[in-house]
Amino acid sequence: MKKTTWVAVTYLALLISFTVVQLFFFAHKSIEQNVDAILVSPGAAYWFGTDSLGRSLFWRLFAGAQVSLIVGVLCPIIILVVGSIVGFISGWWGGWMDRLLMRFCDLLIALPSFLLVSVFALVCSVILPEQWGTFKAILVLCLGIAGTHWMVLARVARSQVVQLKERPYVEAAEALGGNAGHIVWTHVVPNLKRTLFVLACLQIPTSIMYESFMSFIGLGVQAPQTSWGILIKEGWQSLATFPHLILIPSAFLFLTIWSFHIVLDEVSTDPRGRGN
Amino acid sequence: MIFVGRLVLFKIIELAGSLIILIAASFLLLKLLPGGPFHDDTALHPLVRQNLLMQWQIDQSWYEQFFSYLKALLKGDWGVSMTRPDQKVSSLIGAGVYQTLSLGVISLVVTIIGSFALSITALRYRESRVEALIDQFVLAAISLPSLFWGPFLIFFFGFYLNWLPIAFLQTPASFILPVLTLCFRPLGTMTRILKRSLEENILEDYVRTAEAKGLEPSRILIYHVLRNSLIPFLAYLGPLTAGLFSGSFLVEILYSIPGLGSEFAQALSERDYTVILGLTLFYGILLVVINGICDIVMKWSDPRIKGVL
Repeated sequence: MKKTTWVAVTYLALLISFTVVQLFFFAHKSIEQNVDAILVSPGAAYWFGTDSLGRSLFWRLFAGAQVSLIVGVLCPIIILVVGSIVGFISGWWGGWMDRLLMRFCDLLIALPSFLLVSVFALVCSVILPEQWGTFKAILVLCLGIAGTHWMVLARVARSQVVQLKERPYVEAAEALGGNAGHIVWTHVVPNLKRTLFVLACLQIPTSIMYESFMSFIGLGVQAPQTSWGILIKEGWQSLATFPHLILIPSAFLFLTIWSFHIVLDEVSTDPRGRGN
Repeated sequence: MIFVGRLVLFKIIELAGSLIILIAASFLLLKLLPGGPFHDDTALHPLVRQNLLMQWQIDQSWYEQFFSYLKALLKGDWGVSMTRPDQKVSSLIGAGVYQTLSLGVISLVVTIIGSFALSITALRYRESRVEALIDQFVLAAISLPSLFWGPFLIFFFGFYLNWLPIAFLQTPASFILPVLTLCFRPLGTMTRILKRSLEENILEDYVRTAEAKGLEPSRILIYHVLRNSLIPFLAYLGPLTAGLFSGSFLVEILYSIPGLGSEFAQALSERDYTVILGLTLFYGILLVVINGICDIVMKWSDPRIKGVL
């Protein structure tokens, strides 16, 4: 592995372990107020400084990472499931169903994703009940992001299924009387498992970025709860006077997305491929 | 020419179809949402509420509403804002479109020139430190969220160094930071696409022939390889343009630019359904048309695709 990959892996491991430690052992630290230390700049007492309510930014950062990481894991799973199902149905049955589904995909792909995610999340947030709290926020984020990003995966799955359908062993399985579900599961799925998995993983950084974007414009997590988007939104109001409140969380956002990209690049490059 | 005519006709029919689906979908979506614009106003007299409902035609059935909406759209009447009834949706769009488009066009030009320069430089100095540096840059640019990059640029160049204006698009200098914020991610993506395509083409036989003739490497890259590597780049130009015009959303909020994006953000937070619908449609039409044009240009420019149709 290259040096940058090591940096990225180490960073992600630290981030995840700190987040877990914060969740189980220091959950109170992120909401603890110290009225004697309001808006302290980063220093020895508070590594990342404190916000306008005297809460330590260090612990709030890892409390916020929970939502960001959960969204980053859940969205790719939903995208994988929805995209594969649509792709398999479309590729296997063909005909008018195929044309209808793929036209629909084209239409959604052509629309700008920022717009689509916002409108979709708005609809979800109005429909779902308010008392679900953080769970609702995460659900809205996941539905909004996943609901508008499954199309590329569906298209790839479809084109692969169409190709695999013509293979002799699939035809043989059909001639032997295997039903569609069985053939797809034993002969088609194993062949494109890896491709679809990598494609879904590529959505991790995208999902994390959209989480911050949506919470920033007020569609995702709401204020007493925290996430990186919320931290950035709060910090944005005091950029001129207390820049650490926005620059630190957003730098972590950048680092996380960058690390995921580096790791995914390493994973998705075929070891037999160019360069190695 | 017959070929181009058929292509254009085909495209127009396709575009019209997509647009009607888009209008219907966004209309139905908004109808499905619980709660109307006058639900909060508990102090309203029942008669006043009745009149309001009649004025906004909410008391009719949904398909009647849909057809009257469609008819109004075709006449160019996009309705008025629900929270600011003195503002027409079409005039709101008209007021913001100049800012958004100028930002988008400048970023598009910067992205295209930048990605050409970067990928050709990387290929010219293959397997050297320059290429490694450009690869690192591309990866960082792709992962750069505007929420970090924008505030960072504003803080560094605006507050710390005090060199550049950080809000509005009034002087040419005030374009620098928003354009930089907007075009970094697309720049990374486009450089990556073009570089991959160049890398594939540089292994072809004609490159070896050109090298054997003793041509200069830069000349081969620009005149021979680049021309053949443009197809994936062109294919991505439609989505890129779409992304730049709509991705200005966050940039407009960060730099207080009164464009379509900040209008949309405001409408989202105020649940101003007519403005949301109008802007969705406007963006949709803009992007569907841009994608259509790019598609036609691409098919027209590539004789291999031309033969298929």
